[in-house]
Amino acid sequence: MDEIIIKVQGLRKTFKKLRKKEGFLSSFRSLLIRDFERIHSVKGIDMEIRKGEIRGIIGPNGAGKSTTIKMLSGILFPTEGTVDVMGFTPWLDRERYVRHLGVLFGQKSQLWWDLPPIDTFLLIKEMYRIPEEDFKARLNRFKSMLQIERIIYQPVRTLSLGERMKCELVCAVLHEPPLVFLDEPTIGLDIVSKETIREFIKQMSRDKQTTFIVTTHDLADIENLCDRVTIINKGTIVFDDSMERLSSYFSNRKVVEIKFTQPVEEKLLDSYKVISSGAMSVSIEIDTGEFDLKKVIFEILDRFPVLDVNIMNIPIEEVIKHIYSHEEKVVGYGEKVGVG
Amino acid sequence: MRIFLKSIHIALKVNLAYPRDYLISLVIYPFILILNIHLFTSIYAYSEVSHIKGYSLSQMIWYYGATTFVWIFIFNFTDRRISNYILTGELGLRLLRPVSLFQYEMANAIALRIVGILFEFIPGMVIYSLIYSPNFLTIASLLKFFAVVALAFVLNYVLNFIIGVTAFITQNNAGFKRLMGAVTTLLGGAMIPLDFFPGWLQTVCDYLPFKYLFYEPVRFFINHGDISTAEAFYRVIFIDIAWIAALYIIAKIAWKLMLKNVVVAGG
Repeated sequence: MDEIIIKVQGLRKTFKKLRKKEGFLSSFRSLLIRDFERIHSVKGIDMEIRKGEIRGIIGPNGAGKSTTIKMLSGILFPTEGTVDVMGFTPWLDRERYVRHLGVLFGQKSQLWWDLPPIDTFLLIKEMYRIPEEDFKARLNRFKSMLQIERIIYQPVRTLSLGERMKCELVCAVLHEPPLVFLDEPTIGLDIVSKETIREFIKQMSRDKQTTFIVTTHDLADIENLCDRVTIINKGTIVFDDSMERLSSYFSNRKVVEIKFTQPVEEKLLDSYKVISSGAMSVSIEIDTGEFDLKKVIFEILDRFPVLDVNIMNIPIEEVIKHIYSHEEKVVGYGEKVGVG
Repeated sequence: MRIFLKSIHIALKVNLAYPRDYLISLVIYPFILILNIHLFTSIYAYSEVSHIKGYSLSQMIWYYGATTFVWIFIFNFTDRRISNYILTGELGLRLLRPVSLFQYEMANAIALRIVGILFEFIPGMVIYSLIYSPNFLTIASLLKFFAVVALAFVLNYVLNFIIGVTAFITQNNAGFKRLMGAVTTLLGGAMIPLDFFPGWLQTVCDYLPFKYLFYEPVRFFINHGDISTAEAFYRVIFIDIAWIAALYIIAKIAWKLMLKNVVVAGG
């Protein structure tokens, strides 16, 4: 379980981008004089991923996560830095390296639109030289796990998005690669399909020690799937730790949800940091570094007609929003974090 | 090799998903041929000759039919497909499969041509022959034509691949493609037989690969007197292969260079 499959050191990518000005005449001008600006998309990334891990990579749009993934998968040359994946340098050994790789892009299809998925599977079988028996056994297993027994014989254009995504997933793992990149694997899917796909990924990781790298904007994917999460923002890693540590990120801040038996005057709650309030309920945030949680709760129970109290961590959405909007590095647990 | 055959098989299925399209193009052929029959019959009658620049009347009438057939054998839109991959970011997916783009696109082009031969060349040939008999045709000339046109296909494919790769620089290579299209039809002899060009221009054409796309295959099709010797046949085959080898090396180098600077679009 401790074997490291991916080792990234000082990875950087700088793009030269043509600066285009507005207006019709300047379009002509730009034919003669070209203004370039340098975009530092990835500014020095270091990370390690273990075999069999399901790693979530998240970050706001334009943070550099796709650029990182492209370099890890070998389709983009970096400006600087080294990457070692199973002994390969992805962009240099691309043709040999991709044999050991599975990919799924939620927004791009690799299935033939006019043909049934089975045809694509058969092509993949030839591409990766999968032996006939293995191919049959795997396909049978995947068919029952994903419930796609019938649909793989229907033209792709007649399938629903969820059915198609399941087939895309089969395309990514049919050759049982040790490493799979999943880019937004559950985008646009209903809750049941999402659940099926997550279960499938978890099972692959358990049974075959397959390493998955998942990029997503769906926090439920991260919460239900990933062992570890890497957050990339503005081209650098701002968080890289286990899922539990992300959810207890603001360990010194709690949210207390209180339900009342009868309406409470708003003025009376002024001394607390109210996050939201309704007619018969209120949510307040308590900084446990400043106040004693026990004391505050007792005080509330004492002063108000309380029906129910719920003490929770800061929701993960809030944590991530906070990390996205702050620049400082917050890698590691227990570090003091500037809360603003 | 098996993967290559499987790709052809799949591309065949894709191209056969909508077969009616091909049959429509068959309707156009008789019109072009009838037009040529009238045009050249009156030109030959007016000049009171049996041959013009070595072409008999039936060879001249068939010349344009033959260029259509050569088109059917060599046509592919690899250039457009590659620039589309670049513009849509689909290139990423292609690069992540353990089959080179050159091979993958070649399989696709071959499949496309098999469909073309089945649905356009064979029925077209039957229709043409019924309207105006190809009295110049022999089994040997037809076989030689197949050999020359097969190489023309490969040559055209490699050229198109190079044009496709230029899209890495220009992002959109539509303009360049149109220029190349015009050059190929004109200097390749698809517009008028090269024999009608001034001497210096014919010399220029001799040093370019384009005449091996149309002019030479067409001459073998219509069994022109100049190429009836075995020596002429081997000469064309040899030059074809030389051009293919040279352009293949250029394509490989260009591909390697471009890949270093490629920016795969889209997240």
